[in-house]
Amino acid sequence: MVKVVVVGGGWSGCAAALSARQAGAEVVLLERTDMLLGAGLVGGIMLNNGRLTAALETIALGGAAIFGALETIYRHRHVDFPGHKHASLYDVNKVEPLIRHLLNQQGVIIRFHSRMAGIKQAKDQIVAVILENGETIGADIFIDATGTSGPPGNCWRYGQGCALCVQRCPAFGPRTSLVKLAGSREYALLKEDGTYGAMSGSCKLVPESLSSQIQEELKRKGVLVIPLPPELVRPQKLKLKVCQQYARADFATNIVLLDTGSVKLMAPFFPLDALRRVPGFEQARFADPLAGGQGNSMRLLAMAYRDSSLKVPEIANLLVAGEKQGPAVGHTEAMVTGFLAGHNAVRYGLGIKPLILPPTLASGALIAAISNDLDHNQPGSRSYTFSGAGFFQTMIEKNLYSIDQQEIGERVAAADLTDIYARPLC
Amino acid sequence: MDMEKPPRWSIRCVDAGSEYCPCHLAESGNCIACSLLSGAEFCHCSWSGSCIYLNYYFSQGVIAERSEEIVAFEKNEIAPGLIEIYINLGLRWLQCLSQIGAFLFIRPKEAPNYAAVPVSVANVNGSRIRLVVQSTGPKTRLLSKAKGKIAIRGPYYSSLSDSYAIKRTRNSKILLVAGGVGQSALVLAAKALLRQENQLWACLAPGSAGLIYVSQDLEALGVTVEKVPSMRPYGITMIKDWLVQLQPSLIIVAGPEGLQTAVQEMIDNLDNKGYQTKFVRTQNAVMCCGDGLCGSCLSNEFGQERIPLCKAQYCL
Repeated sequence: MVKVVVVGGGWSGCAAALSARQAGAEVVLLERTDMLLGAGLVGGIMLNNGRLTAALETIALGGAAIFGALETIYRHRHVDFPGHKHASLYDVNKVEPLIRHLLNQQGVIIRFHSRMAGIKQAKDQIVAVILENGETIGADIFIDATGTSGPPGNCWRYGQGCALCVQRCPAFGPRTSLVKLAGSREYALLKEDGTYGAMSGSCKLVPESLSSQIQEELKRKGVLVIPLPPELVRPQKLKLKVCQQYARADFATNIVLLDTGSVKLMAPFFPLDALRRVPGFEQARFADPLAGGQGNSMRLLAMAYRDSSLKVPEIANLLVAGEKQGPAVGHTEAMVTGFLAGHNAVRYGLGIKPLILPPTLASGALIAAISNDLDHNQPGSRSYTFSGAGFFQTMIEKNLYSIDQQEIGERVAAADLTDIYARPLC
Repeated sequence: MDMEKPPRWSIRCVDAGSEYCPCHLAESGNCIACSLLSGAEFCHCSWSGSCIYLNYYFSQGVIAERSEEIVAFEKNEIAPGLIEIYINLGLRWLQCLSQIGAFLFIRPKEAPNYAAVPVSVANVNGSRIRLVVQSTGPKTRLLSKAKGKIAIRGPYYSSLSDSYAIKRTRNSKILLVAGGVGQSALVLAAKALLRQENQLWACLAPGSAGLIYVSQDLEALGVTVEKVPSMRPYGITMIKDWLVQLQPSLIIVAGPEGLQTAVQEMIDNLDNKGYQTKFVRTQNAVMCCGDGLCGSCLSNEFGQERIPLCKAQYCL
């Protein structure tokens, strides 16, 4: 049996673990904190714009488990907000136990409080990861799903300081990168203004700190768009955002709130005294990051060079998923790359040809677009998402965008990939 | 065989996150813990305490210096060339100097700063600190002739290679091995380990110091002590037997490099060893400033990068 160690329990790590398990591997998932999902604990937006296409593709490929589980905790279905259609919002307070249960049920061995500190290497192979407590965990194949946000040093140098976000580096220790430990190169997103990285694009407000009218309306509609007084409009803040699909003028002139069980404020941060000048927000306070009035976590600072199967070229048994595999931003993007990395980990373990998703699928096109940037020596020159910015436009132009389950099923079948993630390889 | 090289990832700074962090190494761009404060473009540290880069940013360039004090002392020659020094200190000093791996720089009051010698705290009883110095060179000879008062500078904490391993070991069997003045470092470590409900065995030889001077203190704490006239051949045989019988989860070797290597080899060569043993050693490098600046304790054991052992803690 192939043994796979997945480092990092965010959305991509969970998807990779599940996928490797479905393909027949023994899977150990290492998470440095006490909860799975990382940024997924504060996100919640699914199925908006091209993400619906990508989700339906992944379901047709055999990755239905996560999407199916999320169906049980959506607070709002098919909501529209500026620039985004048919979004579903999962309950961020219910998602972690749900996914933890799913992974346990599927036989993934989850190790919490297990921060990787070092590795054992032989030639071009990783032999084992070493945890902070000295414990050594060996495997045939490793997946780096450690993400690209933090550690606090990066948030200080490239952002506006540690904002005490859900990553909780000061408590559980900073992110460590398997790619970096293995001696492979990393790159960062380089913004137009010459600065590195991008700031997480939204924060959470404590619901009870807002007026009862806002609370009620938001609960009913799922989305609220509240015009900002002109003196509080700061369009330059949009450039900071990691989520360029939300970097639209409407997001600078309005407060956009989403109901994800918490109140999701679609801004990377918002000075508290300014926020409190908006009617209904007089008593507002931040739930995440705790210093959401000041800043947010910095991301896309440690991406790996990888091929289209998501393997790191220099290392024989290392794959990457989520933001580690490149500037693809969002839960769905993390799941899509996670499923592929998990599946390919088992293929590499068995010596079978890896799966490359074809460009006839949105998922394949997104992975190929990042590969193209790497091949043309433009790593980190832009970020990608199924839900907006340039790539969603590309999806529309290439007729990849679809919300028709049957049509997408046929595309996957045409590529002869129906249920490929669901079939055990060993 | 050379000592096994500690992996670079395991290096921690003994002062990281403490009141002596950030230090002058952060200021100069040579911090051993923070990648950003050692010239890297991105943060990829392995330190899980409060961010050193952040602390440096907030410190506005203010570096906390170690304390210095002139104190009266009591001195006894306990063996030829071996002197025992007692000093009485206040609460703050005592708290610091009771920590695992604590040491001080001491010099005769009249001698220049650069005459200061690093000396492990051999024990703390009430307000009384015991230090033992072997006269081997000009600085220690000046000290053995000192009259009146001495100057102390500290506290420093890196006399042992991995105080984290010592702090983390609980309910286990532990082996202490010492020869020469290295034995000084054992008593504070033993106190911490016994508080953590461990069982301790010690094999002690006089070595170049010519005297075993910590056995009474260790026995009083509850350590099973065996004294041998010399490590080779008596001690080494006993240690080998203990390794097999006790299967200790931690071994502290306080002594010269030859002894450290011999014990480490012995652990590595045990047949069918089905248990893990952590290995902690005394840091025997020459130390002059204690803050990583003077370069006397720089080690190239960690690969390309030279690391000051006065700051480093690492797994072996």
